[in-house]
This record gives sequence, C-alpha cells and structure tokens, in this order.
Amino acid sequence: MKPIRMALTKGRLEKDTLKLFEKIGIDCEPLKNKGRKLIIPLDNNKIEVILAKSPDVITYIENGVCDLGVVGRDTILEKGGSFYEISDLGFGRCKFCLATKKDSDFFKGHRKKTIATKYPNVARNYFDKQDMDVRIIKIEGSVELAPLLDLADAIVDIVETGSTLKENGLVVIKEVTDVSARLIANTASLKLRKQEIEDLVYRLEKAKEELND
Amino acid sequence: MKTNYNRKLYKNTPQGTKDLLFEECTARKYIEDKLERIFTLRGYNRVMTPGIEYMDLFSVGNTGINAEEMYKFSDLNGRLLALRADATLPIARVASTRLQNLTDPKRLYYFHKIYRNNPSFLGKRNEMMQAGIEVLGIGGVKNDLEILITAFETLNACSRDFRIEISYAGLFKTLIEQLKATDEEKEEIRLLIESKNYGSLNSILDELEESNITKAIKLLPRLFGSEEVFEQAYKICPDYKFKSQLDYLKKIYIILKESGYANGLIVDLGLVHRNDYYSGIVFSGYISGVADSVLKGGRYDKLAASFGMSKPAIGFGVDVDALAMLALENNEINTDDDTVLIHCDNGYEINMIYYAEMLHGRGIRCEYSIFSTLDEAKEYAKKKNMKKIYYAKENIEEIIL
Repeated sequence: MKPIRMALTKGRLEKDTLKLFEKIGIDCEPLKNKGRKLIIPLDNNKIEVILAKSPDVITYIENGVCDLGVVGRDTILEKGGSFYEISDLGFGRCKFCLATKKDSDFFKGHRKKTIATKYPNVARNYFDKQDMDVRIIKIEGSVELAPLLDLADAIVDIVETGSTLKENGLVVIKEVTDVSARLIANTASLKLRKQEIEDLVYRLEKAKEELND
Repeated sequence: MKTNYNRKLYKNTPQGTKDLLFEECTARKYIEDKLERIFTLRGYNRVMTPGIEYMDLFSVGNTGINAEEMYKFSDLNGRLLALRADATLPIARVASTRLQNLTDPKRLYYFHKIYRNNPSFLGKRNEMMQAGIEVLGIGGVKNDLEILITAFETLNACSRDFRIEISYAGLFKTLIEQLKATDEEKEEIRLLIESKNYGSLNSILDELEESNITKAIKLLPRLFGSEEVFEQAYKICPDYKFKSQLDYLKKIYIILKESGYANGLIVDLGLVHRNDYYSGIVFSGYISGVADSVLKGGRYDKLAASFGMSKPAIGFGVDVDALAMLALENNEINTDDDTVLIHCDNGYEINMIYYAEMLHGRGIRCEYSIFSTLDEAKEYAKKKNMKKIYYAKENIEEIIL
C-alpha cells in the first residue's frame, strides 16, 4: 500500500501539528530526530511526512506530489490555488488586521491611501470589497516600519497578540479576516483514496476536539 | 526597417508550452488512436475547427473563462480574436451553423489544442491537447448513459485505477435559488462547496437566517461516495424538484452499476463546476498518477440555446497530454528501434535507390546513408544502435553489426 504523503508547514504550525498526530497515536519521534532526512516515514510507513515552507505546501498539494497538507489560511488567501480545504484544525489562530499610527484617521480625506503589506493579494481583495481605491506596496519584512517611515498610511498584516504593533505605536482599526491552520487535500487524491484519507481526517478532527476540550 | 542586431535570440519555448519529441509524439498518437477507435465505433464523426475564433464566442453562456486567460489579438478590421480557449463552444458554433440541417442526434468528436494564459511559475500548461465528444439534438436517459459509458471506456482503456464521479447540476441550483442571499454570497458558497471548504461554508451559512436550505447546503459537499449517498441526500431537502432530480441521478447510477460499471463510480453532490452552462448530469474523471481531473463533462442544454438551438446537448473533454504522459510512464509505448542503414560507395547510387525503395516497399524502416565511406556509415550505425547495414553494389550485401 502506498503511504499517504503529507506536507506540513515548518515553524509556527509544526509543534501543534505534531501534538495532533501524537494524540491519534502516531509516534512522531522519527520526525523530531529527522537529521538530514527530507521525507520521513511515520506510523509503520502508512504516512510519509515532508516539512516545507507554507507556500510550498500548497504547491506540493496542487501538483499532486503530496496528498494532504497542513497550512495557514493566510497562505491560502494570499496564494490561492485549486485543492480541497477540508478541515479547520483550530490551532495557529490569528487575524489579518488593518493597522495604522495611533491618533491618525485613516479614512479621512480623499487622497489615495498607501498600504504596505507582505500579503498584497489579501490587501487587494479586502479593499476591492470595500470599493476603496488604494495603492499597495509589497514589503518583505517588518511591515510595521512602513507607517513610521511615512512610506504607507496603514498596513495589512497578521496580528497574533498585537504587542509588536503596540510597541511601535500602531493600532488595529479593522479586522480583515480570521486565520488558522487548515488541512488541505489534492482533489484527485481525495477521489482516488477516499476511504484512507477520510479515516485519517476523521481521527484528526476527533483529536482536535478532544484537545480543545 | 531597422533591425536590432544586438538583441539576443530567446531560444526556449514560450511559457507553458513545450516541444514534443520522438516517444512523446508516439505516446500522443497512441492515445489519440485509442480514443479515436472508441469514438468512431460509437458512431461519432470528427470535426476540426480553426485555432483562432472571434473572442466573443468564448463569452457565450456563462463559461467562466476570464478575458485575461485568453490569448487575444485583433484582425485587420479591429475585431478581437482569441486562440481556442475552450473546446465545446466552437463545436456548438459549428453544430448551430453548417450542421444545423444534419439529422439529429449529431455525434461529433474532436482532438483540439486549447490555449489558456496561466500565471507564471505554477507549472501549468498554457497549451493543452484535449479530445472530446459531443451529442447535440436529442437528449434523455439513453443519451446520458451513452456518454457516461463512453467516458468509462475512455478511462478504462488508459488506466486500471480510475474514478468517475457523477452529479446533477440542478441539485445545487435548486437549493441556492431558494437561499435568501446576494448573488455574490451565492457565488462564494458555490466556490466553498467546490473546494470542500466545510469550515468556511459553515461560517458563511451561519451568518444567514437558518433554514432547511442552509442545513442542506452545509451537507452537500459531504455527500460523496457510493449508493449510500442517495439515502442521506433524500433526507436533506423535502423539495419536490430536488427529489425528482435526485431520482434521475439515482436511476442513472443504478443502471450503470447493474451494467457492470460500479467499479470506480462515485456520486459527489458537491460537484459544482464553475461553468454555469451545465444543466443536467455532470461528471469528472480521475486517474491514479495524475494530480487533477483528466475528464470533465456534462449536459449543457442551456448553452446550446445561446446558439439558437433550443435542443439538448451533452459531451465531455479528456486531457490527452495527461493520458499520454501516463502511457509513457507505464512503458506502454514501444521505443524499440529496428531501423537499418543502407549504404553504397560513390557511383552506386542507382543500386542503392533501387534496393532502399524495395525495402521501404516491404515496410522495413531503412535510412539512406549519406556518408562517403563504409567505415563512416558503420560508425554512425553503431552510434545509433542499429543492428544491420545493407551495402548496395550490383548485389546487396548484409552487414550485421
């Protein structure tokens, strides 16, 4: 039997994903002590795991080289693509927010506003929905700097606790959308290996509920 | 005219396209022959439409092809043209014009290249070879069955592990029409069902007033599997129209099952194509080893009406590139090379031509040697792994390598 191949997002979501795996009785030691190995077999070779950067998780799923993936909704919203988004795993919760300098009125005046963001598509979609014509500038790191340097009037970014914003004198003025880790599946895999995948998803969802209780 | 001599010639193929070489061509031909046999045996006739059409053609009906996805340009009168961006629309155009007086049902098949502009670096194909069949003029159960069986036989001829999922386009429409929501919300709901995004689907429906309809829509994407799906589906909506559409789908399912096509058959009521033009049975095919669906089709009576034919129409398209790639991977393509070389010394050309054409007449694959000496010919033949050289003089001598 061919193993189910899963792509997991490295970093922030990794720990919670492993917790979920362990909850359904999968021994994650090989993953924790993976060394230089890139493809790690788990659960008596029933599952193969790959750790990847979040946009790559989507790429692997779309191209069918992995059957299932764990990825944040932030990446899904930014990158898009065609796959099944079958479950909200509940962890990695945060929000996309519109934030600006404290004491400044973002919506005042008719001048075209500038938005700095790491997520230009998310920002574009949000302002399109508001029928607001803005200029969007893509920034690769420390987006909070942009309003402080007067490069932008506001930023669209992921906010977890809000402490980084606060330290830099920024405040959230609108919540754009909620973000959390999602389980995604390749469309053909879900049709061709329905039973195996559904079983695994069912176990993961049950474990998620138990962990939340 | 000024020529820019400094500009470097860009020698690679445009993004999303590729050159097919040797066994790749053989594989494509192999699949085309297979499919052509399946189609012609069932009485379909081949048509070829132009690679360019007026761009408006691809906006007929609500096909879901965005203008930015098309390769477009204009003719000398300034009319907008596009490379063939869809296979069905040109066929519907032909059927409603030159073939309008042909006896119904019209059974047509095609092998056509489709061109779509995809975003960069996703590894997507911008030029795709699609085969397909269309039946226009008369519809009904027998017609739906014929098309589905042909779809099964098409995939069966190319793979051992495949699935065909069926649904009925009206089911979702019946539900969504009764939902109190804006058109934008409805489209968002459709997208969420299509991507089986249960979480977001629930949250958007929870914001609307709760009713039997919202409950039914929440369940729709989960309704996929085999016969047990029908039982669950009957429970979710008491609506008469919904029930009769479900009855029809079940009837098709049972006949297919009892005709021996149960293996690989799935029902997926969450199959809601973005093509708004489907109006009855809809289906998709999947093959082990291919990441996306390889076959897509359905009934499109409403689309035919946009061409002035208020008559039924149904068809499917199949991804020839994917099937050819799979045949290559599974070593179904014969790559044995049994080519021989015929050589002669200068002055014996007449003899060489005589013998070479005699060999060709017998169906032997034989290359003319264009080298001056036998040694050069031998060296070449060895490099090409040829087994034999014919050495033409007054007689013909066989040299085994």
